[in-house]
Amino acid sequence: MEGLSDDLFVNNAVKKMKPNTCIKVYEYAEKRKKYTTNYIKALNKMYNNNTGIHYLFLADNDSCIYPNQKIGIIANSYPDILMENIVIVENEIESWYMAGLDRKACKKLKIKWEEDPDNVTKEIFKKSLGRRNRLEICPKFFPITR
Amino acid sequence: MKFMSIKSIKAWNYKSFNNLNVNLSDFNIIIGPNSAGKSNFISILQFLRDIINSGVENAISLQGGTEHILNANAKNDTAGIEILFDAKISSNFGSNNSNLNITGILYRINIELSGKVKKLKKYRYTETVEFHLEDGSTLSMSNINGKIKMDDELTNKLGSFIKFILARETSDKSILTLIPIIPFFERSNIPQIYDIDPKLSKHSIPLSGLAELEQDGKNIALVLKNLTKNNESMKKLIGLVDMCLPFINKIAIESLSDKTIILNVRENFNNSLELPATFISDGTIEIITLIDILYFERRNVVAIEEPEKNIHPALLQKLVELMKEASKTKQLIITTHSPEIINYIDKDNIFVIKRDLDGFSIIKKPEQDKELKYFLDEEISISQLFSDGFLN
Repeated sequence: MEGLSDDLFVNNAVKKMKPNTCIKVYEYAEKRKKYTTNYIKALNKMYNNNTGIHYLFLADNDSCIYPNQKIGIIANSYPDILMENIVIVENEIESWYMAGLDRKACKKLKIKWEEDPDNVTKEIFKKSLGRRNRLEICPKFFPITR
Repeated sequence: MKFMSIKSIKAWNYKSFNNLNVNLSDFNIIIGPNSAGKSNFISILQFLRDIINSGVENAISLQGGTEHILNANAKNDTAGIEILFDAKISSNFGSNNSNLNITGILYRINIELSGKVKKLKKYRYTETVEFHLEDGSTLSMSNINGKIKMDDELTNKLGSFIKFILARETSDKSILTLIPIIPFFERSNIPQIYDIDPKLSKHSIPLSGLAELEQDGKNIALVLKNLTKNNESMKKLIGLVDMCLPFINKIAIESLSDKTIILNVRENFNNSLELPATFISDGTIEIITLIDILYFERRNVVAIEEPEKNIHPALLQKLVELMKEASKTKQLIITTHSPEIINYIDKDNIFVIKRDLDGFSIIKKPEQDKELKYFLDEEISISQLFSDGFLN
């Protein structure tokens, strides 16, 4: 994962959807490329040796025109990465928080409803939260029925 | 060679451990996330110490009662610990001055509980001493809930010593369980646990009190007061402190009018002024206390909980060097959350504690953990894995 917002998403959403799966989040955005590469190499070996351990590399699409462009950039930065393990978030993880929320759910969370969640950026999401802390609010997104 | 050191620790249904079996070396660093079981591991030593000092029932009480000893998910109502000490004690107990060397002492306590409230039903305390004979064979003698049992051959070899041992059997059984078989078992061989709280050392303390350092280190002023009586010890203490805190040139103990004493320190910055402990940093007190534990406390087996708590990361390398040096004369078992400390430790000295999927604590060396080995093979350090949360 890139950073804290992704970490919160995985810990609050994915772990609830996959309660019997052990999920470990590694935030690579502020780590040296060499460290992340070493982790990728180790995880590749674990996967190849059928240890039952699998990894996904999540990245925001950011300003790329299409996801494959971003996948190419990542593969260029981390040559050892298995391309099929790269997951591109359209456009930023914050849009995944908003995806599927109807007006009623947004009202309950006291955030602005977005007609097109794909276009929700960090900045839009942050503005919607106001002064509220991400660590406090983000977990509240997930018990809501979608 | 140390007089005695712990070779292995076993525990069953004890606190968060389901089935613990670990071999220790002279220098052991225990790492793991919060609530993994580090303190429960250390409490095994505490339990043994309390059994030796105060008896089984008091030791159980000091652990919070039987209900806090038995693992909540235990499949039966039996819990216990077993600690094997490596010893090298030469003696001429044997008849005709034949040598009987003590090579190992094993302590085992098994408690059986009953009912919903997990009331103590019975316990079995065993202390077994292993003797090594000149011909290479071994014989053993056990104290089981106060009753002495031994190999027949040992009875013959022990000669007059046996009369003393067997005479003890006729005395009060309840007291016998508290007395080790080995009458010369020195207090220095009883494991001691330290969890230093430097804030407690900032106040003056009564002039009367224990001469040895207490678990939380609050009586460090009194301990150092005794140390100041010996010039050589004091020079050694200042020398060791200087390694970590070169701005300190004097450590003194001041007697106050209300029959209390307080630790004072003189710094190079204000040469004429001695600062009382109240104005000394927590880290300074912690380092002075750690040096006392590592180099002056007469204990052969020492466990220290998170020694890095108040110490600047830049000083931790020196602290590790002090610990490594001290481990040549006493066995150290250290718990830590500090990636800096881990960074300076050989991975052979590290143990990782974590919970398995059933919630039981497990302890392994990094090399024994198949998954960790993949990371280590890619030159990811233990310290890095620890910081990134991969040891959880």
